Amino acid sequence: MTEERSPLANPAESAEIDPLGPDVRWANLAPMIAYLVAVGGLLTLATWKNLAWAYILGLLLTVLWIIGFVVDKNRPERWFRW
Amino acid sequence: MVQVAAKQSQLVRAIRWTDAFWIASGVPALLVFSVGYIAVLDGPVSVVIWLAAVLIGLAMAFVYAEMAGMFPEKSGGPPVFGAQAWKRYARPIAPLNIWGYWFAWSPVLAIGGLLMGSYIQAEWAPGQTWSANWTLTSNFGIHLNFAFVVGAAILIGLYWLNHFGIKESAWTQLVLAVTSLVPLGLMIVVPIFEGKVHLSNLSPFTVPNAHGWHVFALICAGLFVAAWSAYAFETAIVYTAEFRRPQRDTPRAIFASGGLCLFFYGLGPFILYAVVGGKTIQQDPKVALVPLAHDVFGTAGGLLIGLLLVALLLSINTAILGSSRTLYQASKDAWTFRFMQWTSPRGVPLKAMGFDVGFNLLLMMLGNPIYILAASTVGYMIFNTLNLIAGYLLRKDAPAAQRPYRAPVTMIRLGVVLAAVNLVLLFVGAPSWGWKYVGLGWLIVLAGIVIYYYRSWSDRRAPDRAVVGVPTLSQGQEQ
Repeated sequence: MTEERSPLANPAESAEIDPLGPDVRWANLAPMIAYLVAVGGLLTLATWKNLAWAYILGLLLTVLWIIGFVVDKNRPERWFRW
Repeated sequence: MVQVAAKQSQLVRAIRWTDAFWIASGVPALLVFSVGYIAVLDGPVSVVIWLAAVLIGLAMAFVYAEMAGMFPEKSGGPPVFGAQAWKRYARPIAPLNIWGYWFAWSPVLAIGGLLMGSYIQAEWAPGQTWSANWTLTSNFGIHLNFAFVVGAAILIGLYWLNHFGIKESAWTQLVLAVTSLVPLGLMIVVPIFEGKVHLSNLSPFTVPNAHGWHVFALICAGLFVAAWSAYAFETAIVYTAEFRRPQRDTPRAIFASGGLCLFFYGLGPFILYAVVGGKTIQQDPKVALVPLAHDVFGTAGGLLIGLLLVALLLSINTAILGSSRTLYQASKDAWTFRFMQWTSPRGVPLKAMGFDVGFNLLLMMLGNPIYILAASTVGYMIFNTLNLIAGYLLRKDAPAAQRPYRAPVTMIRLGVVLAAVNLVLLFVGAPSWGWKYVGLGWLIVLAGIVIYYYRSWSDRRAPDRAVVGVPTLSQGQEQ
């Protein structure tokens, strides 16, 4: 007999075993996502109006975003302090 | 007694890494799509832009290869793996990542179809200049012409060809690849030995008609569109769920494809610019390789154009196969419309493929390939930014998870830096191609989130309808 149940009946969890193991989260990324959106907005403004200060600030903030990962080094979690 | 498979939407493990390599061998031909436009935009600097783009793509491949190995049961490529990391943090980002990737790959069909039509018209049917236009704004509208008709016929033909199964598709790709990449490779190598490479064509080595921050913006714009082609060999790992030995085949497929692309993208734009020069390319950037073919092979140029068309066919087929599987897996993981997870008895995601073709027939009506490309690159850069972060997150969240291929930790960290690079390209590079097309790109990609919420609502409302497709014979799957 055909088993008719699709793994999609429960969309979030398929029948497959999650190879990632238990649901562990390294950090709260909501601040980081908001930060990236803001940087994107600033760079868009820089391109739109050809503003030198916006280019420089946008690029500096992008570098700062990377530094957020370095700050995390040797600590159990967090992007910057989150 | 015939045993019917429990799952009704199943791909078939029928290929090796070499088959995926041949399927992905359409990627070098993507050079044809934008090499002329980037040369016009950035002048001789475009040569370095292409090299930088393919090197960035190679560095990213380490992260994607590791991610693919962690999910050997999943098809659909890097965004599907990245979605597994993002869903723990912010679920809407997962469909954004997947939809961005799909919208990056899918328009290869529209752009390739239009380019093939343009090449055929330029070489063999110059009299076919009829067109029907309905303009919505001054330079945005619907266009039907000879190139559209040729492109539409090609897409429908390839849809039919691919319904036979992945193994047959891989063979088709092998034939197309050998037929097209050899002459494309010759077009790059032969001028070196014929002494037709003139370094003076690269002088002055500057971005034309630009000063100050505008130079930076134009270089970003070149890198932005070059990335769409030069990163694209990651498609080799779209087929992870169809590999016979996914753990072994996945890294081999992506790095072999990357090596092939390093040759074509590293050398091709340099040869084009050094042989024909910027002024000749400017005359018609859409068909920039035509003068190179004529320059290198003289009267045999027509034949070369024919072979270039095969190369375009190859890249379109690469895109049909890849993007349909992305939709298929996204549907299976409940990120997008339910109907796309349906597979034919041959294990082909035909409904996802049909959606792909239909969408591109509409997209082709927009007309100019480079603007479609710019819109779709918005999706690709969103995906690359998010997915490289996902690679880092997977290391943090699941350090003990099984990794058949483990990338050096330096490459995972470099991935974060490259995510930042892609973010800058997304916001600084895209607008140079036109704000309305960038807006169109964002609109289509963000639609992925809306579709995700629709799907979630639909599944909650009628979970029984999640059963789709037709029963497949388990014996048939093993063939």
